[in-house]
Amino acid sequence: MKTRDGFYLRQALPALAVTVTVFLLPIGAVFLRAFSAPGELAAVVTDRYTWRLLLFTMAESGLSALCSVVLAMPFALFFSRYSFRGRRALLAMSDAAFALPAILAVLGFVICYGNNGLLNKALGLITQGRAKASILYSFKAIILAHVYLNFPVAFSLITTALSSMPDTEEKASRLLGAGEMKTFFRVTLPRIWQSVLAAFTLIFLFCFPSFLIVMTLGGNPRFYTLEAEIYRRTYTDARPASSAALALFSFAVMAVLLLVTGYGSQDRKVSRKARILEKTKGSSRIWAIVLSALIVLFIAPPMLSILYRSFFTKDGVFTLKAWKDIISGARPGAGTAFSKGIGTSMRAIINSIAIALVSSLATVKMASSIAMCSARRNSTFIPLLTMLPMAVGSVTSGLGYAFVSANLPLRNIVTAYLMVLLAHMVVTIPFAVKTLLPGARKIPVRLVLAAKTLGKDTKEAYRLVEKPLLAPYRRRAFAFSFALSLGEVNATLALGEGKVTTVPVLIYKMINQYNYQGASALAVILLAVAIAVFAIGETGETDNALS
Amino acid sequence: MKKVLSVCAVLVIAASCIFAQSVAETQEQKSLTVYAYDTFCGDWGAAGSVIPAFEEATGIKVNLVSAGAAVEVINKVRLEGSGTECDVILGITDDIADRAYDLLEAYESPYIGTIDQSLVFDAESRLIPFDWGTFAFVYDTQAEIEVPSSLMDLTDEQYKGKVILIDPRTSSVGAGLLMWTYNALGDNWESWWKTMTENALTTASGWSSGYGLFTEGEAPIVISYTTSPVYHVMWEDTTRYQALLFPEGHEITIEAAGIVKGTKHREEAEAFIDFLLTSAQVDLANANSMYPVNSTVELPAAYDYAPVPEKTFRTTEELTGKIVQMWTDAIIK
Repeated sequence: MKTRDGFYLRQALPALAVTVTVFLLPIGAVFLRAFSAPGELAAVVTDRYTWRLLLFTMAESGLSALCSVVLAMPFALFFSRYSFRGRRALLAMSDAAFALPAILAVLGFVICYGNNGLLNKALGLITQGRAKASILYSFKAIILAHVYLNFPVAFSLITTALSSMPDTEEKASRLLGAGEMKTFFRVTLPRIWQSVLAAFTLIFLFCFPSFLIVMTLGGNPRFYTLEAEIYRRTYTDARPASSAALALFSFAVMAVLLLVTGYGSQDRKVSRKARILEKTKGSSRIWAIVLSALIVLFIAPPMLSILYRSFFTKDGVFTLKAWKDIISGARPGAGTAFSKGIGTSMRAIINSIAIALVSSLATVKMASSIAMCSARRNSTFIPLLTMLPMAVGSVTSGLGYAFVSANLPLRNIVTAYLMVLLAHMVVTIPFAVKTLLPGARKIPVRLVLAAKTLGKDTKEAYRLVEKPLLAPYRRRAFAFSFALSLGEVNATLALGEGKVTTVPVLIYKMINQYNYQGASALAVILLAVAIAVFAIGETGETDNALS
Repeated sequence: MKKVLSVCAVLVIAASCIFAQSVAETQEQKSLTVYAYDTFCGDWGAAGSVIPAFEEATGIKVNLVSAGAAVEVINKVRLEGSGTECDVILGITDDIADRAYDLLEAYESPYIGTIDQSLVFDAESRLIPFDWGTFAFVYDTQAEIEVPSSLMDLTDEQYKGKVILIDPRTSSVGAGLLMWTYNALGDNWESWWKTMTENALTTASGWSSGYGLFTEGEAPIVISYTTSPVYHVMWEDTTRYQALLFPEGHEITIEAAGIVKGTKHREEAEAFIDFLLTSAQVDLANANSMYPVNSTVELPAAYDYAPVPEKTFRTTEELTGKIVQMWTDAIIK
């Protein structure tokens, strides 16, 4: 039902304006740059190499999305049918894993699955050096790392979709003698098809601008995504016009994908009847243990390896050195500490937390008004508009903001922070809106109407009725935004101008200074902060009583 | 109330943020902004000794910005344009020098005469050499491999998955390796790369990430410098990692610094360059594991672990640009 009141739109307008600016600013700058050298765009489009890059990027993201979704399916089916101890915890863990920064996956993978990684050390011990698993530095390593980061997304999305759907039709199908397989393909799949497609699209869009994973785990200079090539042309080739043209090309492709899939998967009907989960017993109890263990075995090892490595040298000698360095701010190795005051690591930790806090507070504020407005006006256009920033890769957004920043009349530490904040919001706003929208749509209009008949105006009704109902979703959106901002590397690296160093940027630099132990210690801190924020975000019951 | 609180919180955070940033930035004093490659600025880099010594000797505060690999350092200055804060760029190698020339001002340091004249590559003194090195493959003696004895040896099946290369497009070390193969192998360089790209464990995007994987034990052979073992001897007291001399000859690389066009701190920048050519020479040998350009400087004892090749190559930057393009066409496209 639509409310004719302009209240929600008025509320959302400033937020929409900021969102559009935050994203148009860098894209506009890239656009201008690409067209300032007219030949470049034509050169990029006619270059066969551009199309090869596109082909590889599509293959890499398509395969990653397909594997994630297919793998997640059996888990989602089980988790949406049975309730058992640890089910909620695992779902929460998958949610948190979604916000894991790619840099931690890279670090964890090298330490855990590398040629000299913990897995191979263990294998070597067990088989006395006979068996060796060669996992990294190949195309399959790229896919594996992408599935690692995105399996939880698929698992969480499909489980949620299934759980919020009554299972009477499945029960009927089984009663009529159709087997589990037949029931799945004939009854369940067609009904959750939209969610499966949405998960696929989302993961595809995540992997499309993949850069760090492709560059470090691919192991072959032929494995390049569009985003990696944009980075290369910008920062090592000094061809800003050419990279701007390529960035524009990449944006166009992503935007088309986003719009095509976005219109299809606008899932606006919210079912009011959820299913009742069965208790596990007998064989299903064993299955619950096996499936839970599989998820933990998939997600945990790389992160536990990072924890281990932060306390041990690569030869397995225990040392607290990395932790002491963080606290003392000392620069080990050559010479004495030259940056006086608090150390680089501490500064990065403060920066990271402060930037994440400010950007996610602002994001949630804006995203809530946008979500409420979209829900009340029944708009497809507004959510789609706010999803558009997803089509901007982080390298592109960093490049755009670097152009903007180069043209600022005044450049100092404050503008550097501002640019980083804005660049982070390009990443956080789409996800915050995505998180808040279902919550906003679930709030029945009749409640607002009831408040109005009791003499409240729309504004008060919003404040007293809708806002509290939206609160759990706001917490979730905050947690997501916080974690995303916390893990952002590319744009910060491009924009910080060496002044704003955040934890993931420092991790990136430490890996490049072959200080894996220091990088691991910082990664543990990053993980700990993200988990703490997620724990707070998950405290609210998102499936509120009204639905 | 809640609103007021959250506004306050944001303000406090913003303030502490800026505060945290400026703790190190003391009151108005002579200052200089230097952009250097990551390894130089890193925990093990030369910056830890060279910069404090310079600050102490001159009273000039150095704002050191770690700007990525050498190639990226140039591009950072280029992207920032006339608004750049950079006064001195440090670590530009001779083979990528042409990418930087138009960004730099000439400086005829009074100490140019102390530089081994064969190393001076820019007649206009825009880029002033401060140290140099020789590319070589470094191997891990604890890995059970047959020690390769030539570049061509590396293409052998037994080294499949055991070598870490570096991308010539993204790193000056990669470009150096490419020119080495070009100079040493003649027409065979292309087939060497075709085989090696498939055989190598990985082609890293920069020296530091490649060397990081090597010291993590991911592969026993990596492209680096003849002087790399010096670092391990000096700081880790181990001779585990050794450089390999190949009969085909080796490629030389020269690292240089230059003053950025339009700098507002020309005087401080000159002092910094002079310092690099004089007092810093020993520090550079110690902490950067590269040969000082002043050949009269006495090298630390650990340099005995850096083998000296008989035959060496130098390449002009024009040729490097051309060959990197040929490599890209042959290997990537």
